Amino acid sequence: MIETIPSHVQQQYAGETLQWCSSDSEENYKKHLKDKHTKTLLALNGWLEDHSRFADVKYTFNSAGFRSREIDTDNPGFAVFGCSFTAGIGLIENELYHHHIGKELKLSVDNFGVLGASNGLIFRIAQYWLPIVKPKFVILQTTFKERFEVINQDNVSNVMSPQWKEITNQPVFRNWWFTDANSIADKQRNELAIRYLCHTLDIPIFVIDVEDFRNPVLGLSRDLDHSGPTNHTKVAEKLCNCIYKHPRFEILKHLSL
Amino acid sequence: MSDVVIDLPWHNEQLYAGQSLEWMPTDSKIRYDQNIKDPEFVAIAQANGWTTDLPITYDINSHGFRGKDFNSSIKNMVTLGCSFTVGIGLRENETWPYILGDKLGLHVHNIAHGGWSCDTLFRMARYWIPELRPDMVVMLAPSYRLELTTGDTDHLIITPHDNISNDTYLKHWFANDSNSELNRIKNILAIEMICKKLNIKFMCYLQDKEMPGRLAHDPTNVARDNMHSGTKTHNMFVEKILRDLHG
Repeated sequence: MIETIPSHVQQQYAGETLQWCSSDSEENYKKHLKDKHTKTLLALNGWLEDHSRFADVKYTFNSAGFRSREIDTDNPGFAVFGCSFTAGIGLIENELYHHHIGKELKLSVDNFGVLGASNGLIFRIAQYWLPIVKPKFVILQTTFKERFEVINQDNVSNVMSPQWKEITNQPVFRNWWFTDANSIADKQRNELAIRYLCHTLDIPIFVIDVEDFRNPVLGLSRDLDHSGPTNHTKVAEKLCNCIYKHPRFEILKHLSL
Repeated sequence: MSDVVIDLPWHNEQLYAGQSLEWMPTDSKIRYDQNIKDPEFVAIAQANGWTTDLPITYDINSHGFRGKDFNSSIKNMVTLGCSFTVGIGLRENETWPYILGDKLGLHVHNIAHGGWSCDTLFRMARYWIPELRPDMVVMLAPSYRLELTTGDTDHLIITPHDNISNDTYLKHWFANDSNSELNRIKNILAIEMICKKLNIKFMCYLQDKEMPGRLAHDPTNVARDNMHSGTKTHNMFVEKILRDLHG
């Protein structure tokens, strides 16, 4: 097993609070304001500067580089693993699906979502953090199958994506790496591996996919690239239903009524 | 994973389905003819009967794997691995899958090929384990190799440190030890989960640890290609599996 802390983006923000982050950048926002169509979208989703929500979007990263509370092994809650949809780009923390679940179940959440994460990176983070935090349950949000993570000898992470033109121009990536057969197998092996990690630690796991968030009809986040709060609420409802059906958590439903 | 239909996985040895081969890489005639010029190797070859009356044949079944045709209607086991599991340079009854199957009274489905990576084994396992529903799965996980596949026509196995390419990504990222080791762990866990879901016993060993190939201190314990482990190592490995199995 890899025992070093896995490297990932966001670690550079450890301990910091940012007003903007990644695709939810001030530059992008201003660009959207200048365009009639995107400005309308911002207005429809309540993201114009005069809306009260606007200033509430903050990114507070814990000392490990996650948009989450500090890791507290004496007070385990549940853990969520995923990409930017779980990190919650462009949304207020209390609009995120795992916040709703935490509120419903009266449990703290450790949000291990990482911007631009691949399923491989999600595995590596879960592999390291699960035995440490020992959460009451895990929510795994699998991400786009086309993303691949490779690490080098120094544990530096690099997530490859077909969106990188310089990569897709190379035959080895175009003809091999990003083929469906390869991508699907990679996604499956990462999901199964995380499921097995949970099994060995006796932690129930609930799995959702990035596609569960891809419904623009349900609103958009401030970067206009991620899902809005209604989508998160619906995902939370779906997950709560699954969690309540689990034998270990059936009692929670009665307590919450 | 349940929402994805897994088709019969392609592999390049399907080409030999139903055939009986006299040689198989790296156990090639060219290499043998070269090795046999060495008097030390002649003695090994004679001791193993490679020079005379006991030829090595590779009987490939209808699915392109060494061994008998698949039969899931009887008690069986699946063995997963690379050339060390195929038993390159050995007679079939000298290989660990055969010996283990014989001792346990299980029909053997030897899903292995030379040069395969753990990625390839995962690709095979996710189809064949649910299909064959074996009583147990034993995996001898190949060391640092990675597979990229197009799924139905071709695959590319990348081995770290090989002079595979001048491509920076392949050389410094994809094919480095850390990445490969992580990949191996991940594939093992994933295959273990497939077995867990189906309530199938799973045992896994690392090839580089259990079957390191030709040993300097025991040069006669070698396969015909003078590279892979000899039958003594295969027998010792089976003993270890049986000890682990029976406590």
